[in-house]
Amino acid sequence: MTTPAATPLETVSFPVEGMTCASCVNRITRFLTKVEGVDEANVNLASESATVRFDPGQVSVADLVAAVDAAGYVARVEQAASADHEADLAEAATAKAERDEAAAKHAADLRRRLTVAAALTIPLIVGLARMTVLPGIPAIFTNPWFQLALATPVQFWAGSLFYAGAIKAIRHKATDMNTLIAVGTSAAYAYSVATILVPDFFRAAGLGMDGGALPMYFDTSAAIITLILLGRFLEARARSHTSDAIRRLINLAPRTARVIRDGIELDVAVGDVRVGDLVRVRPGETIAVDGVVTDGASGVDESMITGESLPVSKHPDDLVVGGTLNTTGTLTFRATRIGADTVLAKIIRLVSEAQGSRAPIQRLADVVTGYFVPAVLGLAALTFVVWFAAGPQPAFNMALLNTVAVLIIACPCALGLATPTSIMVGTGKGAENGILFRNAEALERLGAVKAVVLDKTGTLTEGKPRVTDVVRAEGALAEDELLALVAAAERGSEHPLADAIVREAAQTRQLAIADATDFLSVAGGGVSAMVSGHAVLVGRPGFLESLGIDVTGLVASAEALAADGKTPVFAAVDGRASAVIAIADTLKAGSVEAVAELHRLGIAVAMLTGDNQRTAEAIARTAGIDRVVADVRPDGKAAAVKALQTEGKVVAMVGDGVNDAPALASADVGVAMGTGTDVAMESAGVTLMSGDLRGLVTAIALSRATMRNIRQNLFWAFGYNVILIPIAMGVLYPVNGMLLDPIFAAAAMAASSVTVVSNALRLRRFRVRAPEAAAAVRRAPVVTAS
Amino acid sequence: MAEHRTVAPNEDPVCGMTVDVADAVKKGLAREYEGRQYIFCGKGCFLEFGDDPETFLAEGFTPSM
Repeated sequence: MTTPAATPLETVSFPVEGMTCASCVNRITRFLTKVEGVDEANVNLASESATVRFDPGQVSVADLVAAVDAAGYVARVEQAASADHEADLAEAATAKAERDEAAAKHAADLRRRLTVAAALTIPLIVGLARMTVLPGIPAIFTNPWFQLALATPVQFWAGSLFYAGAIKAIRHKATDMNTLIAVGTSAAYAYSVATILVPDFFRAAGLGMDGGALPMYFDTSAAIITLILLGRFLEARARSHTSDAIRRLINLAPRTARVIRDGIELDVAVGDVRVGDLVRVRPGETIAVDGVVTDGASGVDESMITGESLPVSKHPDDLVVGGTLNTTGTLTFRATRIGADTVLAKIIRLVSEAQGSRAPIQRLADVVTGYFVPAVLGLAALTFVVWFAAGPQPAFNMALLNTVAVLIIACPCALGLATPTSIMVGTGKGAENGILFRNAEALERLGAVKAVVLDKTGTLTEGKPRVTDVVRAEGALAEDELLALVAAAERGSEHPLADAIVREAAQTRQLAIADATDFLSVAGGGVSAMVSGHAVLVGRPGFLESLGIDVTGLVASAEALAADGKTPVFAAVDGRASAVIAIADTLKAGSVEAVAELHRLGIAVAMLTGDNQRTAEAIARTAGIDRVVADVRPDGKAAAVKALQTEGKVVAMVGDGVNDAPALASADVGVAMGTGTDVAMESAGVTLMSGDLRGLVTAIALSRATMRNIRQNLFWAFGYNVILIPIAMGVLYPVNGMLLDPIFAAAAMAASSVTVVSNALRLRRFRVRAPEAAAAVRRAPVVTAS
Repeated sequence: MAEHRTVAPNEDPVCGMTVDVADAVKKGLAREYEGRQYIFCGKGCFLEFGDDPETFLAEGFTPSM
């Protein structure tokens, strides 16, 4: 071990560009650890980063950059985003602020219009009551001039947005729901005004002959406008309601952080925290930016980011994420990502993009609306013509009444709400559970998935080899004693398998490890060293045999372990073969359960790996996977996905590495692990922040629930309209005299809007299925790193 | 000269991955060594091999990582 450093060690993490395989990792690690003053270097291929613990008295960060450069790679210590990127983000933020402001203004405007319209419409409805059920009400309520005074502002001020919309549509030579509302309510209003201005015309046509008042429809036009305004207001409110998900995310980030500069703790605004600053977090405080723990230990509640409810324990060198909540201990961490680079900022960006995106099913709804409106206008015209020509007297009155009814009942308002509301609620709900949908299309497609392709390393497994078995030879030392000797010998080795043994001994079993002398490493063979007076050899059987050691007694055990997909390493102490140590990558907790759940949902599960067939099958067996594609080259993953697609299946690919990116992009839905690389997340439609495969099951269930919700909405939106159109046209009139009064038409339509919106909000009650008892950590042994 | 183990024309001698030869040559991830071409999956293997080819071509060497 190195002698105690004069100055306390510091830890720095930075991205490294250009790594392709484990050899790159070994090479950079070797170059970094060679630098005088570097205590430990961890290079991670999956996250494309290096974490180095070093003595700042002997070595500077610039020296580390130089070492990475000497190895042939690029270290980006200045993690600060480029100026262009920041300008883009600023622009996006401004655009979003403007959009939010416009939405708030729109909602406020609707509220004002609705309040006034409702206040003016209520007396008109009272007048309607006087005419029908409550004749005792004062006569003023049915006075034509009084009604005109009430209905006119409703028609032309509160309802002006429908006229504006209709005119805009006509300019584009199109018709939409505004056209229907404008035409329908204008017909009712103009008819009523005409009864006041030119009553003789109506009397001549045979109306009001029995001495009664002429029929007026001010109540109808005003009520329709009020009810539709109500629908739009509810929609606007639903929109702002669903983006609560985003607001909650933004509110996660604290306003200030306690930074230690020159040994003095001071509170600064989060925007003033710089990369490299030391930040202190006390119990109960929220972590301000992303960083690496340098001191202290605590449990951190990361549920807001990952959806994982148990606090995660944090020690020096662990990563912490801004927006997460420190629970019991005090932590000091070094800021590594700030502002727009933080994980939280990335999540907010993804969620807001997804909520504004359109699902393919929405395009269908738009196409249908485009045909629906002209068809309805045609049916309305037909209704007028037939009633006027062949209907009973007063034919003009009846024709107009029924035409208005058709125009109003057909309004596809709710159709416009059906898809966007569900999408917004669905993506918001996903974000709450650590599932990020990049867009509505991903949300729609995921539920239709029939086959899931899982990358092995880092997705199904931890991606880090561990010691799984120690098989001792007859008469060998006790297991812990033996492991401590082997670990001491292996500590000098850079081999990942050696690292697994050292971790097992030092961290998992907390064994005291002596210093080794006479260390000798034979590439591709093994190591030899003297430890506490024992001659220790570790490596392949051939290496031990070449030094005259008889390993035959252990070969059978080794072969059995290899058949399970594990890598056996032989150890000899003082010239006698002592043990076989099996090392394997292990399945993540939850992988087995997730695969079983996917099968239960009727989804085929396949595994892709660069491992050989035998090794791959061993893991697949443990995970319960039925289909294995082994010996896949890094660039062959996309081809494997395409092969499944040609079988006619909708395929989701789950991966985390840079090399998974092409496969993620070519799958119908790409699913990235949030614990993996940014490249993977950017190529994927869905990101599981927790890195837990069970999140995929939740995501699929959420997607299916959302699509079911949209289909219900479309049914309700179309259902009310389509069923009521013939009745409004009067097809039942010859049979039983049944007609649809325009006011009931309006009520029915408003009901469809309310049904749709509240059905979408029902999705908010979507619950993640409680993890089953099987959630108990399962560490089934598997295989060596690929 | 030491005995060399068998390395397939499209095999990375360092990590054992199978590599598209044309692609690797295009990216400059190929090296001549003792009259024959070796190709590599990436920079790491390429440089490792350059530092000490004999290690990776030794008879007992098994590319596993």
